[in-house]
Order: sequence, then structure tokens, then C-alpha cells
Amino acid sequence: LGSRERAPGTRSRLIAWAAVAAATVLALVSVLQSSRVTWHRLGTDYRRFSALVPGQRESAASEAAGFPASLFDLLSLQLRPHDRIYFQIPHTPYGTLDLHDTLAALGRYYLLPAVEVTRLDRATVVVSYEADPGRLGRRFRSQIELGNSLRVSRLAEP
Amino acid sequence: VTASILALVLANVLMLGLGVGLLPLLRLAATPRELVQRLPIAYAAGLAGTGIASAELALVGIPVGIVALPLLMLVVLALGLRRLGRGGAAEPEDTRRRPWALPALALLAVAAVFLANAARVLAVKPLLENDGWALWGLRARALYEFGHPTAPVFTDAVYPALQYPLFLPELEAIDAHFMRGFDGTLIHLQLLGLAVAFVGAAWTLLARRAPSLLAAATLLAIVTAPSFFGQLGTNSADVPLAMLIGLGVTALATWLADGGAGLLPVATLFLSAGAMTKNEGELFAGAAYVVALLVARRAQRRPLLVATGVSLALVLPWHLWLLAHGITATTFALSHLLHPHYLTSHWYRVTSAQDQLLDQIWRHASWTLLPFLAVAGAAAAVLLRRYRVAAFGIAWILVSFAGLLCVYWASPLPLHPNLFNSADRTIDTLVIGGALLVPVLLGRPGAGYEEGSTPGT
Repeated sequence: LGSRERAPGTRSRLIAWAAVAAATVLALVSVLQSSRVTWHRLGTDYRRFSALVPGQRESAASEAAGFPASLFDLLSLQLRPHDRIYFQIPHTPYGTLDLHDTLAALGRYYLLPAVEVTRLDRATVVVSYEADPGRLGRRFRSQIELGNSLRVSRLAEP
Repeated sequence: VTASILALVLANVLMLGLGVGLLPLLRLAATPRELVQRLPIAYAAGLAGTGIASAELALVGIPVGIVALPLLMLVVLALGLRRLGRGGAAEPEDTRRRPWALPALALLAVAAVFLANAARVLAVKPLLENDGWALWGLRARALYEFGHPTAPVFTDAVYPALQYPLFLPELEAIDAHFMRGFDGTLIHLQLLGLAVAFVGAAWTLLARRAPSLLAAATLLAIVTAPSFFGQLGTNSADVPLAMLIGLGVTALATWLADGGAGLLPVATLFLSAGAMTKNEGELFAGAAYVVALLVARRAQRRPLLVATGVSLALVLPWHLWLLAHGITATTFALSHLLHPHYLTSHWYRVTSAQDQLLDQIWRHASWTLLPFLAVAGAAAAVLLRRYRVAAFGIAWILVSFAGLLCVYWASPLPLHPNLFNSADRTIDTLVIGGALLVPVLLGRPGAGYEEGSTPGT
């Protein structure tokens, strides 16, 4: 390394030493104030998450949004890789969110490599939730009801 | 699970190997001895190099997985070791007494204990926070499934944040290839890997100039700040971005102050990786280059321009890909900044954003005393007449902060929900980068060696 700064005098060195010491103390005070909080939070998080079984971890985002863990597993079984999904879900309030947007966002993540399309004519499959696929006016190759309000209707192969 | 963890570790060992090869290529190690001394920086260099390479290759449809990563590693390692074999001038061995080495190493050991505790948590934490799965997890999973950015996941406006680059999702997609499946829980261990790499690289970079006890205390203060692991575990890209840009500005500031072989290439590597992690990264990296050009010595300006050009060349393909697919930024409208009427009628957005960002920066429950440390360090550096490096640090923070305000000013998104969702995270780079600069600001050439550390100890 090239030493391009001038060699400091005794007074300058003393000031520099004091600045380094003060900054070190400030950093250590920061450590003292935060380390207990962070350590405690890590412990709390570990107890919370280590209690979950692998299936619960996989469906954690879905459950946090208020949907049953099995919902996207059931849907996945009806889909083929690279299916193009049209979500027929009403835009109704869902807590502070929108039902369609929430379910579609979860579907986009959980149902990969199937993907979402927003135009029905591009879809190979329709996922209907609290909606009647008959209203879409399409002829489906097959249709499966996965509960009172959830239906998967196939339009084409991917 | 154990097999998946081992597969993820194997992927990271290969990235480390790539980093070892990069050190001689970046001129950070000229001899085998220097290579060993600077090994702690190799992991971060490897992660950055792998992320950059895989993000570029993905754009031409080449996925980096269980075949391409070992090949990439072997090529880089061979080229690096070949260059190393040619020798070169080694830095003189430091034989001075190091009274602060033990306390500094003790603080690093405490940081390692925190990292180990975080590893326990991150190995069992599911993807839970919205951005973690709906944005970053989704993109990583899609890159794993399809091998490259593809329609509609990366092109249709129904999918979120289309303009975000691929660095972090690519790293996680590589892990998924090695694990033979996307695991939304274990993927968090890659974020831990980034944190481990950050500590190793920062320590090695700071050791060139900074007093070792201050360097270790600052690193420990960053790692123990509540928001560090709190945000890292959400699988958002903000803390990874902050770590990459922090390493980049640390290397750049040290190079501006002292020169030193390899520092500018390393700064270029980390700043480019940051620019390819999030769009704000381009702002932070751009600010670093512009400010560095202004404060640099005349002889430093040409290599700086080359470094800027390299970063631009690395970022450009992603923007060309976005352009080719008709994707425009959804969170930022540059055209707004060119309309005086828009700017005057939306001035309230600047003042609101400024208040909110400053509130987040100074929030004790998030970053404890790190912002105070950054301000005190900058003030002390001015007092000590370390004008060049102080000007770089202060101006980088101010320009970056002003840039963030411009983003909120020009954004077409409603201001308050936008601030509510992002203000606590967009400031991460300023806090972590600002704190990491303190040991550089208060150090001086050789101080690190004199007061207790050699690179790699």
C-alpha cells in the first residue's frame, strides 16, 4: 500500500487515537444495547419455526394469508407443468386486502411451473374460487370440484 | 433435509472456489502467501462473481446449475492460479507487535456466535413475509424451474417488480438446482452465506487501513443490530444489497485514500453485484463512482472511469433485456423528473419521504447507534483533516440519500403506502455502508497492520 498521507505529528496522533477510541466505544455501546434484543429475537424465532413440520413450513405463506395448508397442494395435483392459469376469483375485500389479488399472488408462487395469465383465451386451465366457471361461457374438457367454492376447469393441454 | 443442506453447502464451496480464483485475477493476491492471507474475502468475491455470471448467462438462456457452476469454478480457479504462479510483488510482511489483535479477534468470535445462532433460525424459517415469497422467492423459483427469465413471470405486469435484476434470485436458483428442488426454508441459508461472506470480506478489506479493534467492533455492531438478521430472514434483497454496496464503497474509499493493488477491481466487483441486486443498487453504485471521480487524484481518474465502464457494461444487458421485452419501471418514472410542473406540484413527496427515511435511519430499535457512529466517524475524519476520504464518505451518503428522495418524488405509486412498505428497508445501504466506512475514515495507511491485524487473521 502506498503511504500517501503525511506522517502525523504527536498531537495529531493523539487526536486520531482519541477519535478511534471514541468510535470504538460507540460501536461497543451499540453492540451492548442491541445484542440482547437480537439474541432474544433469534431464540424466539427458532422456537417458533423449529416447531413446524416441513409441510407446515411449505404452506406457511398460504396459512398466514388465511388459506388452508392443503389448498395449493390440491390445486397442484390438478395442474400440469407449464399450465397457464386464469384465476376466476371475485375482487371482493379480504380483510384489508383483495381476495382475487391475494389468492392469485399465492397461486403464482405455489403453482409454479404453472403460470398465471390474465386473458382467458390464453389459459389452459381456469381456477375458480367463489365463482361459477359456467359464467365464462367456455366449453371445458374436464372439471373437478375441490370443495364448495374451489373448482379447476381444463380448457386445453399446455 | 440434511442432504439438501449438504447440497447447498457444496454449491457454496464451489462459489468459494470461484472466489479463490478471482483474487489473483482481481490483483488482490499476487503470491500464494497473499492468497492465503486474503482468503476471507474469497467467499464474498465468489458469491458476487457467481451471481453476476449467472445473471448474465440467464439472459442468453444458459442456466447455472450442477454442471455449469463447477465448470465456471474450474475455469476461474485455473486462470487465477495460473496468474498467481507468475508471482508478482508481494506486500512486505508485517512483523510489528499487534496489541489489539486478541480483543479484535474476540469480538469477531462473538460475531461468529451470532451468525451460528442465526444459522439455526434460518435453517427452519419458512418464506413468510410477502416480498420474500411473492417477489424474490417467486423469481428464484421461476429461474430454477425455467432456467432463464421467461414470459409471463418476468414480462407480464401481473407479476411483481419486473424491473428488479436477477443477482439474488439466481444465487437461490443455483442452490435449488443443487438441492434438486426449490426449498423455501433452506433457501434462507444462502442469505446466511452472504452474511458470513460479508463479515469475512469486510474484515479483510478494513484490515488494510483500519485499527483492528474499531473494525471488529463496527462489524459486530452491524451484525447485532436488530434489523440486520430481522430483515435478512425475510428473503428481501435489501440487506444483501447493503452488504454488497457496503463492501464496494469500503474498497473504493480505501483505494481513494491509499491506492493499493486490487482494491479498485474488488470495489468494481461488489458495486456491480449491488447494482445487479436491486435497482436502488444502481443508484448507490452510481453515486459511489460519481463522487469518487470528483474527489479522486488526477492519476486515479482514468482507472476509475474504466471501473465505471465495467460496471455499466455488466448492468447493461439486463436493461437491454427489459427494453427488448417492453418492460418499463413500475416504481420509478424518470420522465417525471423532467417536468417542472410535476416537480413543484409534488414537492410534498420529497418532504414526506425525507421525514420518513430519516425517522427510519435514526430508529434505535432498528439500527441502535450505527447512524450515530457513521456521523461521528465522518465528523472526526474532517477534524483529522482526512479530507479526501471524508469527502467521499459524506458525499456518497448525501448523494445516495438525495437519489432515494428523487425516486420517491418521481414514483407513480401512492406515496404513503410506498413509504410504509419500503422506507425501513431502502435506508439499509446508507446505514450499513455509512457505518462500514467509519474504520476507513479513521484509519490510516498501515494502521491495521500496526494495531493488530493482518489480512486474513
